Amino acid sequence: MNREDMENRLGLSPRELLELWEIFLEASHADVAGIQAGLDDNDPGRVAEAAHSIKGSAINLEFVKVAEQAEGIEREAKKGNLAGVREQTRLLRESIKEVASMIYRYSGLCQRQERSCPGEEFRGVESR
Amino acid sequence: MSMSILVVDNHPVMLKFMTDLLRKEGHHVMTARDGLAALDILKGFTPGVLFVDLIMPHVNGERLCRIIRKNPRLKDAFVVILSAIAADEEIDFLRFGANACIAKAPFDQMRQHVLAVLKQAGAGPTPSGGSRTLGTETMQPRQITRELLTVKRHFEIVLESMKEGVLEITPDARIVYANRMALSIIGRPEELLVASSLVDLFGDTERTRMEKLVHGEEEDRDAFGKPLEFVMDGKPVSVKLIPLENSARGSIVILEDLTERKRMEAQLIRAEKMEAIGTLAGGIAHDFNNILTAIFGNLSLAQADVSPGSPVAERLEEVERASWKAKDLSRQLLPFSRGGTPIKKRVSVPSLLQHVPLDWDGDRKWQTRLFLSDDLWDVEVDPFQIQQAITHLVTNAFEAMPEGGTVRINAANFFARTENGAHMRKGTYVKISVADDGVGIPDANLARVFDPYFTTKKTGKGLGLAMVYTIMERHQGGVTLESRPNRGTVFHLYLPAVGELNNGDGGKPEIQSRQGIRVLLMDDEELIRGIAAQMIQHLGYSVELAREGGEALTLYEKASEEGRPFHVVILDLTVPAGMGGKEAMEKLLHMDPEARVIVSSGYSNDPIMSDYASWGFKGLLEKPYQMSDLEKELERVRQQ
Repeated sequence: MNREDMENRLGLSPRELLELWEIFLEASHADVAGIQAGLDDNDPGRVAEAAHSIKGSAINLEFVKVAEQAEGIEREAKKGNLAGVREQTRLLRESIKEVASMIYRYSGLCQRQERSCPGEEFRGVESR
Repeated sequence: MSMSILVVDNHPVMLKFMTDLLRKEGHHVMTARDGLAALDILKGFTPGVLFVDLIMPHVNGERLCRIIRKNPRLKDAFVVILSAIAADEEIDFLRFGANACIAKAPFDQMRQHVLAVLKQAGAGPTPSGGSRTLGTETMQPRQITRELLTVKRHFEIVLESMKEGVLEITPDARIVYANRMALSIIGRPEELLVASSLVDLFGDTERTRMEKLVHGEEEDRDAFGKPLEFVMDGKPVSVKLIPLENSARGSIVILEDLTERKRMEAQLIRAEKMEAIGTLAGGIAHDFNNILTAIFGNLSLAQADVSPGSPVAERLEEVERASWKAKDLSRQLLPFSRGGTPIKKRVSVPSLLQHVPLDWDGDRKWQTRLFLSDDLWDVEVDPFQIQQAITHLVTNAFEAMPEGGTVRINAANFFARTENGAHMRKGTYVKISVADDGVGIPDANLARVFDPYFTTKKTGKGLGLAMVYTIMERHQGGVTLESRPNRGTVFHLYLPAVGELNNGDGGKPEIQSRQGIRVLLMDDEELIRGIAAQMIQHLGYSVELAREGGEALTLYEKASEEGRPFHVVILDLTVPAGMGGKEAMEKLLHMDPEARVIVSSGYSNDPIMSDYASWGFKGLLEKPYQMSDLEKELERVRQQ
């Protein structure tokens, strides 16, 4: 992934893109936990819903491999077929780890460049 | 130009992206994670533009859009749908009130479309961006998603077609979905119902119960998933709460309007009570009438034997008056008896109203006024029963005006164009209305006034209006009422109408010599046989007696063979220990199709009593009967 290219295309500062990625990671971890809980409870609906969430944000952020894996899980779950989903989930978790490693690397880079980063701060969403 | 913008999406990544993008463009941005949160924000925030995710929990985008459009404050807002299924299904976003639709895609593509629609939004009041979803050009439809959307639409159709109301509520009982039937039962439009609290739909007493139920504090642990009865805006409803599998998501509520079911149950209970009263009343009336027949018979004979004006004659007159009261009492019970079929005659309405009480026990504080149309149709009714019903309504009206007043009785022709109630058919009726200006009937009692044993009077038995209802039901007529507390009550009786009245009833039968006229009387009651025989002989006929149908047939056949046939036969209908009147009549007609037979019974529950001619009988004698009744009917039948 070309970080600078993405910053330019999205019109985001490095810090904004980092925050977006971090939110993706946080939400994806929660969604993977949701998939796992759905598998434990044999609840295909919950598995599909969590996989759908990961897929959508991965497409938005162009994490193509994660998006494809999540879509595969969603498809099987919506068919009510959870047989192979544990293995698919393991692979998805690996892919998200790879994304996380990339983000942490970038994060470290950004932290080292902190003083030169624009002083923009994300104040959090005003949601209820 | 800076705009106020609300972004509604359930994914934090989308919210973060949109917030950064829009703020950089200089706009004021608020965000919400679902439709319900958006509705809360919109109570105090009026955005010029809204970006709304199409599929999200707690009020989806389509529903949110419809609700927004019904809010006058937001009618000019520019609404943009964000859709993840745009590649798989054409979104008819204009139909639910949105101005534009952007497909969810990689953010760099979405960014261009978001900025483009913002330009449109800033160009003027509610411009439409066309009906095409932006950003679908490079997308490929996915078969699985299409199939799932088909399934989703199917479930939506099922939900919207259900005769039960279905609500989805959050764990704190806020309504996020209501199907069509739920909106109908609750009687509120979607925009007012969604986001409101289920608990707030109930009044004070029911509210506490509902709060306990939705918060899991119901003492009855089986209450979940079990239909419980509540009252909502005065309407009985059944509420079944089904927690969703993941209880953090809330519950499904199944609502059912019980109004019609309650009405049917009340009708069934009323019918069962009527059945019980009917069995009792019919039995009593039958025995009572047999005894009264003996009393009347002996009385008639005794009166014939004493000098008019003598002290004994006066005593006998007193006995006769008391006996008439007893007869009336017995007849009052008959409408309740099983079947209780009215013995119908064609009569004019003025003749029916002849015996309506004009005042109350002679007190002129209470009066009756009649208003009769000139061209009233005749009616085909049991005059006694209808007079009984009208008299009861007039007395009731007097009682409703303790300080006195005037009861108004109106009679007018009425044409029922449609079925009206369970018994009235389309057709012609005479409508008799009995109106008072009294205390009226409270709304809560309106549905129960015709129930047997329901009364608000200290000394009432609760049978009067039940009797009126039964009488009208058995006439295939109807009874309705209108009442307003402290303004008065009007009861309307609908009597089946017939053509013009044939006034001639033959008058008093011409008395001819009865020498040699032979009557055969069959009755299983020795008392009746004895007194009836004496009356028949007193009237100048000769009589032979039979205890049951078989014996009567033997006597009839023998008399015919011997050349001294019976001119008239009187058959008792009910003979528990032998052949009854119906069977005897069939055999008699087989033997002699010209036989002149009168049916007699004190038990008017048999259809033969109300339609004797179609069973081959020529006349009818209702027990108890007097000598004059007996004479009149014997002569009428004999001379046919």
